Amino acid sequence: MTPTEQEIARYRAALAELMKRCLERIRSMEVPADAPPLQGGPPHE
Amino acid sequence: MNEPWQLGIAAAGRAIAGRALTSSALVRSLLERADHIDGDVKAWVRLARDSALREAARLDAEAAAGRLRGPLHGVPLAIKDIVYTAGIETNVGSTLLAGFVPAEDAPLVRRLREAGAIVLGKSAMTEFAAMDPAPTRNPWNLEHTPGGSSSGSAAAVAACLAPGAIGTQTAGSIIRPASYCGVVGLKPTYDAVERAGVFPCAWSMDHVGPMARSVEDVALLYATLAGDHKHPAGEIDMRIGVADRYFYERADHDTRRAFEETVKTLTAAGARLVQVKLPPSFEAGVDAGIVTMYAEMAAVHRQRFSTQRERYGWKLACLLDAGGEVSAVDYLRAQQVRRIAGAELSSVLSQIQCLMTPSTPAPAPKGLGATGDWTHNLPFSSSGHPALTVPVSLSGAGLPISVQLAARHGGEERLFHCGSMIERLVNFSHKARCR
Repeated sequence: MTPTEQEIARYRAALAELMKRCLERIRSMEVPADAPPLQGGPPHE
Repeated sequence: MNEPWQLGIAAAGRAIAGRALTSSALVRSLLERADHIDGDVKAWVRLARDSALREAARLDAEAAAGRLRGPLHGVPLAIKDIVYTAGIETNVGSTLLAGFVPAEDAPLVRRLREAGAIVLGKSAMTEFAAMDPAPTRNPWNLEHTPGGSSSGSAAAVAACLAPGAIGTQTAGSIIRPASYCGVVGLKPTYDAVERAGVFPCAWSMDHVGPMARSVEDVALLYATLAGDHKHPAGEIDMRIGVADRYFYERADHDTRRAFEETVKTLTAAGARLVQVKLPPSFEAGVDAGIVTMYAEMAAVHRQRFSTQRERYGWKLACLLDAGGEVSAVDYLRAQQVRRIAGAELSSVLSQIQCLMTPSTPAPAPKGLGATGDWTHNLPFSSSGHPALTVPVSLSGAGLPISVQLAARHGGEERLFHCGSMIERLVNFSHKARCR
């Protein structure tokens, strides 16, 4: 099914909003400067 | 006896081992079933008729000679079309990979074959395991989505087109379709099942796991898939956690009712349901997962997308554009947040047997243009903790509703223990779609 231009624009806008919210949350979280990032995937205990 | 196509994995394996059934008869029965109903369900993208029958004959000869490989001997499976299968075309749900025939099996397929399982065919999936749907329909109601991205795997198991299947999950692609189709599905601990030979969606969040119609059958498949990575259960107790936020508040009326009934049933059976406070970083861990997933997807497709953009589905194209805009600094911040949030969630999960949530906010939505909501599944894809979905009830419209169980890393056996208990107590009938 071919989407309309409006559908695509709505989807893009929703995605942009989602990414904005996600980035704001992770940027505003207090993270120690020396906290290492995951490398390759979540660790096992 | 039931028709062969109605049998689950353990039952089929026992019948073959006991010489009450041949693998060839089982494969033929499933192929006839596919001819009969898959025109409606569209779970299969490709059946491996000839190779499956050849392999079944070989395994029957072994069984006749008294050489049984184990509980999967002669049992046919559906393999998601994202997993490489030697000599069987593998398209990952995209026309971009039309004609791609892997020379070798993925190691996980090799393990299954060595254990006596047969590749019956490749199951349909969303394009590159993202948002553009497969043509698959939900066997419980053909007007509803089966979920995705492992759409065909879940639908094949639910419709008795295969006794078990392999799926993959990056956000919610095992738990959600299994839940929507009323089957049992396991998203194992990150890295517990080897991902080599599985086309990547987002490397640090991709998981491979089994689906079947019982916890016992899923556990059988997992034992073969995980091999040495399988952990012992440790001390089993009856403490089941219920989260203080995030899950229940997102659920619709029918899902809340089913969840509350399951809590009551478990409590009456002697389980200790305890409210657990999710860590403050929980939501940030989820959002970090979203940033990670879209950025990694953009990286996976960067080269192909830059030259063949017009051949991508429109939703995936939008996702890849969004993921391509994530900076390296934000990507690394997401990885820092995932590590912190995952460790804090581990600390909560270490105090209970498992955490129980509704598997999805609502039953399978109507329509085939989208594959539903992965909100309840993404937390454990981001953190890498194992999750199991078990069907418990039907909605007013007759669609399955399930609960999701999550445990500490390596806690699959705990999930099987809790899942089996729930399965026994609620007695959900899978047979409704297998007549």
